Order: sequence, then structure tokens, then C-alpha cells
Amino acid sequence: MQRLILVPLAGAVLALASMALGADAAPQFLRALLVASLLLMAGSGFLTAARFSAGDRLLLSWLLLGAGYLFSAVRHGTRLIAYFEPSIALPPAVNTILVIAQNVAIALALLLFVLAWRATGLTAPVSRQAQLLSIAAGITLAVLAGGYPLLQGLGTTDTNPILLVSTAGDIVGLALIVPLALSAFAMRGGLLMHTWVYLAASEVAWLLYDVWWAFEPRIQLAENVNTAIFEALRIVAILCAFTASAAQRRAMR
Amino acid sequence: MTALAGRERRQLHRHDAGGHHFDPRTVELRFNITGENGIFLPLVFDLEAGVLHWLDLQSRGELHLNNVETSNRAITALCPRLIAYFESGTRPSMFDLGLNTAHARGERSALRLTRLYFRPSMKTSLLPADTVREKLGHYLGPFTAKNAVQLAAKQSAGTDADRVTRAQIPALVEALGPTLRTLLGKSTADKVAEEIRRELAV
Repeated sequence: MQRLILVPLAGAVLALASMALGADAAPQFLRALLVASLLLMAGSGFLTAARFSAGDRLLLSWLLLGAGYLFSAVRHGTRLIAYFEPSIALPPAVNTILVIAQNVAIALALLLFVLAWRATGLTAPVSRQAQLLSIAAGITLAVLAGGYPLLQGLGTTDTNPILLVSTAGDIVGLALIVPLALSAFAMRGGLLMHTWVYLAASEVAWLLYDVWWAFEPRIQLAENVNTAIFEALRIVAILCAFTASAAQRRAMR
Repeated sequence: MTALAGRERRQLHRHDAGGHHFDPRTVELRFNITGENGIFLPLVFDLEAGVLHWLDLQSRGELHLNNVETSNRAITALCPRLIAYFESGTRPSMFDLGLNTAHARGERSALRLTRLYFRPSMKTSLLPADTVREKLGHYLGPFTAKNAVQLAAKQSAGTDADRVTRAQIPALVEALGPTLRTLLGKSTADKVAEEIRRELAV
């Protein structure tokens, strides 16, 4: 089970390795890597969902997670194809719908995970006060990290709906980091801990992605380095979700 | 002392254990079983089950030279009967007494040790709930497994997990069902429940 950490690490290393590629090859390589990660996660999510029976709470969670990443795979897959066949592109309306569907599906899936844990009536090994404080801190962090682009988007005259929906979805996901991590902490030493820890890790990677997005303009880095770090964080987030699904399946053997 | 290992008494270094004088002031733990002579059985260890039975028993026996060999008949008759009597639950166990004492001292008591630990080569005395915790711990980790079993015990038997009897295990496993199904899905939850039932032979 410990070896699962190698999956997101390998993804990050590959993404960072794109810095060594030329200006033409790097974007294609990174896009291909992103699409592969998204497809891997979507497939793994559906496979995990298939292990559950009708009426199981986590069935819908894994289905939504798989669907969310599949929507993203379709968007980025189309962009990848566009490198070779520029005439192929998604209509803007479809693109917007896919972004909204992706964000809603992933945020809802994570929310369902947290609600499923609550439904069991089990508690984390920390006091109620500490739980509430840490959840409040997590939400504050999420709003601070995700709220920056949201405010920026709202401030401009031509508000980009994709940015707004994506950021709102991120805020929900980030706010759930602490509840997910607390569940993982409660299950430490058990097989299911890995599932919940990687779900939380995935959201932490998305948080870092948002933080990088906010601070990147102030840090003067070379374009290829900046893009590689961006994509490395995104790929780590996706592959952590993949690892969570693999851990869930392994626990269900 | 009657075990002379085949030697005559005068061949021993002293007529006591290892040449040391017996000093009553050095006694740290004593069993206060009264009786002029005979067989004194403060406790008995069941090595197979890994359980200590507190007997507090005195039987008249002989006037002198009472040892295990000469008293074997009485021991083999009395011990099983008393153990069966205690297991019937008619009298409180040491655990019950300890708990009662704790309850007398405060509203809430924290139980730190719930089972006896032996060297790995010897059998461990497991409560039925321990088996369930161990099984669930594989998936949920020890903390949540303990928590889940406690919740299910309260729900199914209205008692603490450590007091759940083997007969109450099917109901306890049933009560664990929704939690297991939520986190592991129906098929894995059923498999885990079946493993618990099989292991505890219920």
C-alpha cells in the first residue's frame, strides 16, 4: 500500500521533466500526460464504483468522481487532439457545460464522502472543539486560496463563468480537506486510511495549484518552469485521487 | 517443603529454600486463607484459556505433607467445579469487582487494560469483541474499529463491547452492518461479517 505514493510522485517527476523539452514539445507532452492521468483516474473511479452495490453510499461518490475527471479528460483530450488537428475544438457552450459538470461532480463526490463518514456515526480521535476549529481553519484557508481568483473574476466586467465555477468548486473541495483528513486520521493503521488520506492529499494539491496560480505572477520564473510546476501540481492532484480509488479497491478485495 | 529432588533432607544446604531465611516482613503479597492445615488454593491459572481464576480455597487435606501430588484428587475435583460455578456468572468476577469499585469512586471510569497479554508463544485470552475489533481494525484501523464495536455493542446489546458475550455477537455484527456497508460496500461488508461469525463459531 505504501508504494501507491509512487504514482503521484512519478507523475510530478514526469511533469517537471518537461522543463528539459523544447518549447514546442513541452506543451504537447504535458497535455498528453494530463489526459493520461485524467483517463486513468476516470477509469479507476468507475472501476471502484463497480465494486459497490446499488444502495451503497460510496457508489455515487466514486461514480461522480470518475465522471468529473472524465469530463475534464474530454476537454483536455480535445485540446490535445487540436495540437495535431487544429480544426477540432469543442464549442464554447459545450466546454462551459463540461467545466460546470466536472466541478459540480467532483465537489459533490467529495461532499458525499464526508457525509458518508458522518452517517457512520464514527468520530475522529480529537475533541469536538479541535474538530470544529480545524474545520473552520480549513474553510478559511479554502476561501482565502480559492477566493482570490473568485474575487478577481467577479471584479472584471467580462466575468468568466468557467473561472467562477471552477473556483467555487475548488473552494468546496478545499473546505473538505480537513473533514477528509480527520476521517483518515481516525482510520490510521487501517486499509481505508489510504483512500481518505489520498483524497485529502488530492485536494491539498489542488489548493497548492490555486495558491501557485495566485502568487505566480509575483514570482518571476521562466515560462517553461512555471508551466511545469503548474502541471505537476495538477497531475499530482489527479493521481492522488487515482491512488485513493486504487486504495479503496484494494481494501475491498 | 517436600520436594527434595531425590536427596535426603540433611543433604540440602539448609532446610529451607535456597539457604535464605524466611522473613515475614519481606512479604509483598500474601493470600489470607485461614485454616490450620490442609490444601490452600488461592488461585489457579488456566494455561489453555489464559485465564486466572481466583479460588480463595482451603480444604482440610492431611495434617502434614500436603503437596500437589498428595492433594491431586481434591484439586482435580474442586477446581473444575469452582471454575464452572464462577463461569455461570452467579458471582462477580474480579473485573466486576474492579468496575464496581471504580463506579463507587466516580461517575465515569476509563478502562485501560481489557485483556491479558502473554508471550507470543502462549495463547492470548481474547474477548469476543477483541476478535471483532481485530477484524475491523484491518480495514478501519484500531481506533475506529474500537469505536465502531463499542457503538454497535451499545446499540445491539445495550452494554459495553467488552461485556458482549459470544451469543450476542451475531446481533453485534448485524449492528455493524450499516457502517461497514457505507465504507466498504455491501459485498465486502458481508464478507467481513461472515469471517467474524466463522472465527467466533457463531
